[in-house]
Amino acid sequence: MKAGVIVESLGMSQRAMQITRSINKVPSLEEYWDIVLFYTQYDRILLSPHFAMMDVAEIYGFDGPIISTNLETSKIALGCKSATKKFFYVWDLEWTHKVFDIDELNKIYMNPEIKLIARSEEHASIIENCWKKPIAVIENFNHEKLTELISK
Amino acid sequence: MKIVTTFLNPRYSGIVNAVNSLFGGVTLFDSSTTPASDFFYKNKPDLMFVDEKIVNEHFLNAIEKLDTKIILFGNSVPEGLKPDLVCGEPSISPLMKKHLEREFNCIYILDYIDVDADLGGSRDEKLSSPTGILFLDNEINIPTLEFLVALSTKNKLKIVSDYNLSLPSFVGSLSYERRLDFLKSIDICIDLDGSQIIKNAANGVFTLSLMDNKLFPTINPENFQEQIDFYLQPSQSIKQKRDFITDTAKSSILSSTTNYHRLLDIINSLDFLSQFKEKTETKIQDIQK
Repeated sequence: MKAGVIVESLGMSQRAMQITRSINKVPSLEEYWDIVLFYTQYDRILLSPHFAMMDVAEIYGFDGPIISTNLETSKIALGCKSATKKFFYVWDLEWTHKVFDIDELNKIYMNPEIKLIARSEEHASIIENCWKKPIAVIENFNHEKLTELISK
Repeated sequence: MKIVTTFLNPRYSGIVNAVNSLFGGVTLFDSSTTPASDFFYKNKPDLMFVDEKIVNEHFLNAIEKLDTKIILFGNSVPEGLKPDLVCGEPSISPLMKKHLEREFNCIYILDYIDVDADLGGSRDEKLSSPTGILFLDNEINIPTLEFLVALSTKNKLKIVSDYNLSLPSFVGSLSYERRLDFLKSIDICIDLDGSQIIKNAANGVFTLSLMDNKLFPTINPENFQEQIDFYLQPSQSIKQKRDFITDTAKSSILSSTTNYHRLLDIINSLDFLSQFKEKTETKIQDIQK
């Protein structure tokens, strides 16, 4: 199985550390998984990645399921026609930090092409109230639960 | 009749919109882009709607020799101006009111809805929610914030605002037209300060307000949940009750509180505008239908 994860960068952030840590554990799974991480900005990497990394320009030929991790990368995922499934791991409640046009947010959060994944039960209930019900709650980008979900 | 309006306070723009919609040809004078002397040399209006804030020496000099009837919007009359009618706010101080009434022909413009701009919208499932708030203030105080937090922890709520409220129920901003869609998409609109009551009534949006009013039920910040739960019940009788309240509020506003009613108040105060009366009354009858 293969999957793509789109991030802004693997620079110094809790999100980048957790995602790297989680994808690094994928080879320990029984099933063989080929995970490719696509980044929009190249940055200094804090943890050694044990997976392929590519500039996001390469994603348009990627023909597996993809997981975006914020609004910007979700917009990129929407433009990726060859992806077989699209998931948005809602790491952050971005709409509460600055004012967005709701119609722009609806295009992502309410898009039938994108399935939302929440980080916690609390986030799931907030996301459901504002947009739509997440299909799963997966804490800390857990590699086992994520691979199980996208392989369904 | 040549009609000119100055760049107007939004509070009064609906009245000029009504004039323009019924009789057409209203020309805008924007003092920030056009010198008054040039404008009035080219345009010699018969009637002018003037905002008190734009009146200055240049403006007075430019209109000095014109035989223009003036309707002034504001709570005071600038020195040197002789308006035929002063349209003030009802909240004007009693002393100022007495002074104005002694010197000028005055009426007071009550709140109204602009039929051409404030009505409309349609339900959009993407904006739907059992409860919703349109928060238009640019500042939020602690009691309001506490109320919003309490409200959002107990209810499915969407808050629309142009200003970031840093609350999980805050979903972003919407254009003026889309706000009407939002109001039509929520089951109950919570009004925090009375500012939504007239517009919601005219649009048939069921509202619970923190302000005492004659159109919709009121709630208080300590005991709001019971009322919300009551009106959100799916039963047919509650739905009928909500529809009755909304329909009554709507017909009450459309029969007395539109920009055309305010225009008629002005027409009735000035004999030279009597030619406009019949058309305005017909429009008011059409709105009620």
